[in-house]
Amino acid sequence: MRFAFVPVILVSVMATGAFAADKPNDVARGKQLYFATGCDQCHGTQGKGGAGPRLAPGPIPYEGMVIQLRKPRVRMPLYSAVVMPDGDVAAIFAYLQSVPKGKTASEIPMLKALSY
Amino acid sequence: MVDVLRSLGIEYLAATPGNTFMGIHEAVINYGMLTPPNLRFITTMHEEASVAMSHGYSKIEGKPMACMMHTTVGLQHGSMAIYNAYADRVPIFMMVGASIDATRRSNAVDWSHAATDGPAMVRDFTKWDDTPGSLRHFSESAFRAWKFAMTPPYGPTLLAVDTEMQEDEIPGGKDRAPPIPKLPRISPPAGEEGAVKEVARLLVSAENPVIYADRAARTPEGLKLLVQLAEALQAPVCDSGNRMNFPWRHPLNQSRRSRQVMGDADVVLALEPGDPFTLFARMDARGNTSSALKPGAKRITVSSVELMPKGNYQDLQRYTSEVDLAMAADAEATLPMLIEEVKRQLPSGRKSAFEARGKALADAHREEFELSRQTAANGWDDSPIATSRIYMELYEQIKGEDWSLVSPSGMQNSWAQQLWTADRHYKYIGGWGAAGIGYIAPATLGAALANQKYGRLSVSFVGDGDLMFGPGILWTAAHERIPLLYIVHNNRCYHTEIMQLQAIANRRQRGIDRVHIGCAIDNPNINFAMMAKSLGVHGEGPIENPRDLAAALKRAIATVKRGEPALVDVVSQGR
Repeated sequence: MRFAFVPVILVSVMATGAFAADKPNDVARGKQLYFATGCDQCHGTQGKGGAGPRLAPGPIPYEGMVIQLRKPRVRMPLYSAVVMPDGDVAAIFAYLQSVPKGKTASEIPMLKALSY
Repeated sequence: MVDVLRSLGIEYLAATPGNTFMGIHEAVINYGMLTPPNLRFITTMHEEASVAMSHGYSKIEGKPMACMMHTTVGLQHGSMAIYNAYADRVPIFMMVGASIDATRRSNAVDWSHAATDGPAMVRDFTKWDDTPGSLRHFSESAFRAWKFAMTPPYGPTLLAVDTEMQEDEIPGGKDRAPPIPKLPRISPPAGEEGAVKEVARLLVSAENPVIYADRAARTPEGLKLLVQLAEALQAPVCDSGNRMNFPWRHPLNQSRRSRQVMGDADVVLALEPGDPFTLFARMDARGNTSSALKPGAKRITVSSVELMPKGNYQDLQRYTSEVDLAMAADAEATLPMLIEEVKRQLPSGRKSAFEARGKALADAHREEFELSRQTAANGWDDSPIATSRIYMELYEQIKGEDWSLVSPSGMQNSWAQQLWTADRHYKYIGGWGAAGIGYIAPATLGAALANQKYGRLSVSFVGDGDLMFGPGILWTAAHERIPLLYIVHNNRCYHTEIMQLQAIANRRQRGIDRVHIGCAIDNPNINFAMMAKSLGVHGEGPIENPRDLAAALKRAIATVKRGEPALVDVVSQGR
């Protein structure tokens, strides 16, 4: 069922023209939507993870994110097109893509020095 | 009565004062506190705090602390904390003041504070209760209450003590005081020899044996025994985190990989499993179940709780029909015999196979640790502050101290277990038992009280929601000068609930724009540092910039090391 579901979603999203949306505006709107739709509660205020997995930087492919929203696995809440239209998904994705890379463990002295 | 308490080894009695137990209260402060071995009266501002402090104390000290309440209005306040202690299998010695003789009740309050069977309201979640009719009866029942509380499975016990009996003179005078019984040495129930031999046979002949430990290590000895068993078998240990069962950096600790090692297991030994079903099976959102183990895997349980089942409250959780061997016994008491039998049955020809298994597990543990280290860097400079950073900033300052993390860490992604090193029983004591909010602030203060005489640095991560259930505990911390570092995980909401509410609202396709109602703790934001200061506790924060955290922690730790409580309010990520 999941594999049959993917093309439907992709066609739907592409038909909205979300991919062609104005990028800076999408990022700003996506950030606002990220909080308004409660993504931050499980994934952290910048998508760095928490109760749910890390979303940014470097989000999973857009298609995978759509599948997880529309037909979630594990404990992820369902986000149907009614509560999160395709255009909103695209904007949130644009925001997640814009999150800059943070420090790695080797760049943080106390994590780097953490002994096994 | 005070001499009876002292002969039970009780050091502290916590109470919010009440007129039904003024007889004991007066005897404690004017006799028990002034003559050796000295009792100490701990003043609380809520009966739930009295019970929860006793709960935390017992998990560090391994013996009961006493608390006292009114029969009706006090016991009702304390009942949630009693249920937490019951579900966490922790011994507490509780007393309620009971106005039994109706002809001596003098006003409306006396009547509304009286019940013909007060303990009935908590009987479903206490191990035993009694209402003594004489001083001799009190003495005998106190010893029995202590004995039942301290016989595995541990649990809270309750005596309803007649107000007049407390206040009246000893019948016949002081010289006629009843004798104090002899305190027995408790011998916990160990597994039957034949069953232990069979378990050893299954474990040593297994390709992939797994040890699961829930509330298994009751005492420091339990942790040492579990290490001996795991090392003899070179078997992985999955620790639920409800006790400090196994060293966090031991190479055989596979708690972070429990799903994987369970899936590979051909024999699972579950020690005091709280939820046997969830351990051995999976259930989807529609209630469909499947096995978590591969076909033919053997399931063994060792559980003292099965010696004392009760039917109403469902803390026993779901059972699975697929257990092959269910041993009704205390796990820790069974381990010495099991270790001996495992060593006796170890096949000499499989030494290299055991070593290879141990090496593979050690490699996996190291990889998991490295993954945790990398993950901890995510959002390092974010504000609200990442919980991984809070744990690491704290650890950086306490790792050279004799610290004791007295709060559960699950609400912060178990960062302590992921990143810190701990190999002693008091380093971590698990959580609440029944997940009743309001446990952490008072129970961790009770644990800190127990740690105080050992000079340990007690640390508690308390949620903003939990602390607001009974902020009066901060006054108790200051008044009693109990050194404890509270770090408020201030995510400004009831976070678990807001995630659950989002899921339901989305399932109904209504969106989540109103789920803050009833879950958010903002507008106004609570200033916990200011609140702490007003109650006599050193307060830092609210800390919103992660760069300010280290200095605030340093000041707070210095206060705690001087013997006083301190609180750091950290505006944090949800988890």
